[in-house]
Amino acid sequence: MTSVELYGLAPIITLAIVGSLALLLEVVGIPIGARRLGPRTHIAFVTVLGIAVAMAFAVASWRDACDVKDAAICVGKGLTMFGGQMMLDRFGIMITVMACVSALIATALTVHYMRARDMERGEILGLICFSAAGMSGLGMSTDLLTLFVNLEVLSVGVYALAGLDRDSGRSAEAALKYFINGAFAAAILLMGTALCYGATKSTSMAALGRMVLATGDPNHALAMVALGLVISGIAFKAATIPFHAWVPDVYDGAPAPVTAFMAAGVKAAAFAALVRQVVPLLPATGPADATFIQVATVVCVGTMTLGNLAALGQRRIKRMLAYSSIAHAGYVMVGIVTILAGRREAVAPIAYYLLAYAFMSLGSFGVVGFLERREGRGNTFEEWSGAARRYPAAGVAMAIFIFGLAGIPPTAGFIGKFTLFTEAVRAGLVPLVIIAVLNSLISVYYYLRVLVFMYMKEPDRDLEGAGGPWLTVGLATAAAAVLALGMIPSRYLDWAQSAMGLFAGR
Amino acid sequence: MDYIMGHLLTLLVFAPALGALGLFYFPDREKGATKAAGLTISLAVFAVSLMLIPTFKSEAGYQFVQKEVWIPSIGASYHLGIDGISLFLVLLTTFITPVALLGSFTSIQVRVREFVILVLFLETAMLGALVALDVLLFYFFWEAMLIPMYFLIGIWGYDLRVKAAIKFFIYTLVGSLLMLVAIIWIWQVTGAKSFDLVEWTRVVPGNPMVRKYGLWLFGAFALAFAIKVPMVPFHTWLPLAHVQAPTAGSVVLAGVLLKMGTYGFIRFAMPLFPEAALKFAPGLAMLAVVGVIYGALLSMVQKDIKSLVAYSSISHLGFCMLGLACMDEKAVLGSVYQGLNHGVSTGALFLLVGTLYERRHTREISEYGGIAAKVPLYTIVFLIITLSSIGLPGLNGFIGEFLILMGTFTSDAFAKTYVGANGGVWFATLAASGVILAAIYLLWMVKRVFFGPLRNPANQDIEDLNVRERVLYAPLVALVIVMGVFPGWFLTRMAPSVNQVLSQVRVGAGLSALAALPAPAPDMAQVAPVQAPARVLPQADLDNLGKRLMDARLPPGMPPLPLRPMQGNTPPQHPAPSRAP
Repeated sequence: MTSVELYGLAPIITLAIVGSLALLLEVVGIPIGARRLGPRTHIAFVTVLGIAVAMAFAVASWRDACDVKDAAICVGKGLTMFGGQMMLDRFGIMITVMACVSALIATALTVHYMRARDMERGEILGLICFSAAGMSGLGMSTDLLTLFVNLEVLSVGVYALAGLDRDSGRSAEAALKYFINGAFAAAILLMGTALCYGATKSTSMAALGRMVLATGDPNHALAMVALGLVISGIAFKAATIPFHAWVPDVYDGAPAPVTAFMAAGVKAAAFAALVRQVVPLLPATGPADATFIQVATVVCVGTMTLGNLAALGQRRIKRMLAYSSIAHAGYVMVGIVTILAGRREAVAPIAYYLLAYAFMSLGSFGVVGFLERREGRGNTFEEWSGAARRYPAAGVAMAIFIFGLAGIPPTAGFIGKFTLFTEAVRAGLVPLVIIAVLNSLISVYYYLRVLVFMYMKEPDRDLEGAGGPWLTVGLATAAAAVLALGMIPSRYLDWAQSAMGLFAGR
Repeated sequence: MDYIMGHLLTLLVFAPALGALGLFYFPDREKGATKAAGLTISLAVFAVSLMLIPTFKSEAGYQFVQKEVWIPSIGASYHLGIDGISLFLVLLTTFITPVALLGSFTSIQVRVREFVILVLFLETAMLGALVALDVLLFYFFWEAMLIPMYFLIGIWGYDLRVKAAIKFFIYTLVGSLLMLVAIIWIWQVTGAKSFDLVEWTRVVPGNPMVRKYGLWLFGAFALAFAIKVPMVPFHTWLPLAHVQAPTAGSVVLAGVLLKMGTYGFIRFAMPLFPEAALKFAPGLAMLAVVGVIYGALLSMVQKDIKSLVAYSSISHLGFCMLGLACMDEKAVLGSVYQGLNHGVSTGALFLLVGTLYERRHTREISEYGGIAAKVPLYTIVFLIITLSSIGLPGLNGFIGEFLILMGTFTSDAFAKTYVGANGGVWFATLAASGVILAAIYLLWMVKRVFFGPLRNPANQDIEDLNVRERVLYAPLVALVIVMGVFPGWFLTRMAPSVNQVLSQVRVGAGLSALAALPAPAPDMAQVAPVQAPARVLPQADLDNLGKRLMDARLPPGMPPLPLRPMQGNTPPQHPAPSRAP
């Protein structure tokens, strides 16, 4: 391992070490003096500190992760690691930062949630760190094998997290469903990798892309099958149709902080992988093959429409948010279609949108976790009646997240949709944008229902929030980020431009 | 001081929001103190907005301009500025907000802190939309306005509040989102790489792609604004929202939010797509006239005073839209003025209905009758405001309606279309019947509520206005009279901006730039297109407009009212051209 690789992997290594440390501390026991704060608070402190260090490592490599120095907005290519199997570039760093942010806020959401249920255990925080390591690695993977390994690192942690609430049947059901579906997807991905090797004598995404573009080659057909399998495996994690069916059950059954982590981090990492595989499908200039655009458009329209229509009918807020997360995958797909249509600049809004959605979903599922009770009670619309009256701060936070998800200014959701749709219009995809806009109009109805129940009904008698300083800080950070990214987005949008480096040197 | 004047609009826009943030730390129990703090903040904002007046020059072009980088990667800028059209809407907003807050001192008793915070956030959003000179920034504030209003209706409204709030939100959003797509599309085809309105007004109307799809683009913009106004087929959200909203919500809704629709037409839809606007003009005028009459007829049959006032808004806004569709300087000037009048008068009417509701907890007209003797002061205020709403000469409503009707008669905007050269005459004649209908439904309501025998025993102990309410209504009544007697002061400040916008629209639409000028005008327009200096209404005309209008209506034998021409605001160049022979 050379110094570049060590440098690039520093965040991942740190996350792995912190995860192990959390497990170790759990075994060692509670130090004297820490008991007063709560039995596992010291582990949470160590975890948060460690994740912050990992994030700092990622940010520190920002300048070097670009071969064109001293440009205001660098769109150069990054540093290759492991002979081209991974890439330390700015897009990867952004995904690492998103993974770390998701892990940080998920940790903050977890502490009081677990304490209220008497299930505080150090391994929860350890698993979050390991999964975050997998997410970071996934964001840097440019080879199907590293992609697979990182996807498994990520997934195994989340499978266990989904089943955290050992006494709850719903939690166990969610974990099992997620595991079986996930194993199936992993098998598909692996199959695709094998076919890719057969077709190209390599497992690199770039090689697969080259073979897909080489229409005259005898191995072209095999490469197309491989590509289909690989994309399907990734789409499973990204929760687009037709691989979305697991989402409502798993999101609904898993403990809310874990759902938040899944919706924010796993989705960002999966889309990072998708973008990395889509990039080699484009020729040097111009749009990709029309078939790809058509397939992506169908998936995009289907995902957002299905997500939104299904969310309309939900009685449980958590399940509604799960369908809404499917719909948001559809909005990100607008960006993917735009890239395929030849408008490569759309990677920047995708990077922006993934971060914005990370904060909004972490926040909204965090509020769900605040009000959720055992065995899936406490998250129907009726049970949320008057929640904002009893807990005004949670009400304000939820309002910010909800308006963000609905894409109303002054939140990050608006700028995210706006920049995505702008690029799509520039690619000439006006009908797609109109469909997306009408979709977000549908979504407003069910999002507003949450606020109707929270603000405009009399409080429910059994309403009971499990909060504390950790949760407050976590939600406040997410809310502040949603507003700040919405009102002064320029800095982050500039950074996101660097994602264009994905196309450099091809 | 220079720094403050240079950033005055920023200060104005964000002061209410900053005040609202401060109120988060008020204890929820201290209801009185919260209300007082909210009122103080909004009054301070009003005071700041008054600082605009002395520095404001009566000339075309934007003033108090501030331009900063906002989102450079897409070219959106933080560009603020006001002209004669937005100046008075800004003042109206800062005036209506404290009035609305003071008017809800007794009616809002629960969740007071949230209420005050939302009203202040609403003020920030409204002011932002009015002073934004960047299309994206405007859209940002335009949609942000929905959030506080949604909560105001949904939390403090009456029985159907949730339905009303959701309907209001989604209805308004439908139009806005299509406008957003149009905005993005224009940004893309013009290659302007900015959302700056000043640049857009220069580049967009002549762009071949925009001209090709002008009807669609204008349609997308017009839909957003027509829903907000609301024009007739899109008005169904309004009665529900108005009636279900708490008094403060109705006041702000009628006072400012509806004006956003007409403001959007005159600031965005018409200057950006003049040709399409001309094509749509007869249609818009037709819908406006239908709105005038249909709204009036609906008002007439209402049993509830608040619904009556709500439907009368449709009728009055119909007048404003008719004025805009005429593309005639008098009519557009009248339309902008009528917007202000409607804000003051209808806002005051909603407050008055709220005052009555607080006493008797009913708004049914049949519950009342003969209460004039019990509440003389209230009756006087109600009558003055009602008469202003009807358009009695000497009160504000008359000036606006008269200018609109006068302009409609002579408008040439309909000449090129199927309506024929006499379209304006028909529209004006039909719309004028709206004035008569307004007199019928309002005065009939006044008769049934205030006069006749006092039959309902529940009205025996009804109390007259208390001190707070006298303080509340005094400025409104004063404003109604001042705006009716001294319209020149307002109109001189509006006219240059109205004329500038209008000459842009008219040139772009292929009408002669200067309608009221004698024959050579069209040639002038061809020689110097858009940049042609805006013609200013003859100064003397404007100064004495109100006086002349009033003199014309005064009964014979009465001495003319003592009015002095306004001094010191003479526009520098362009000697007043003589009237057409």
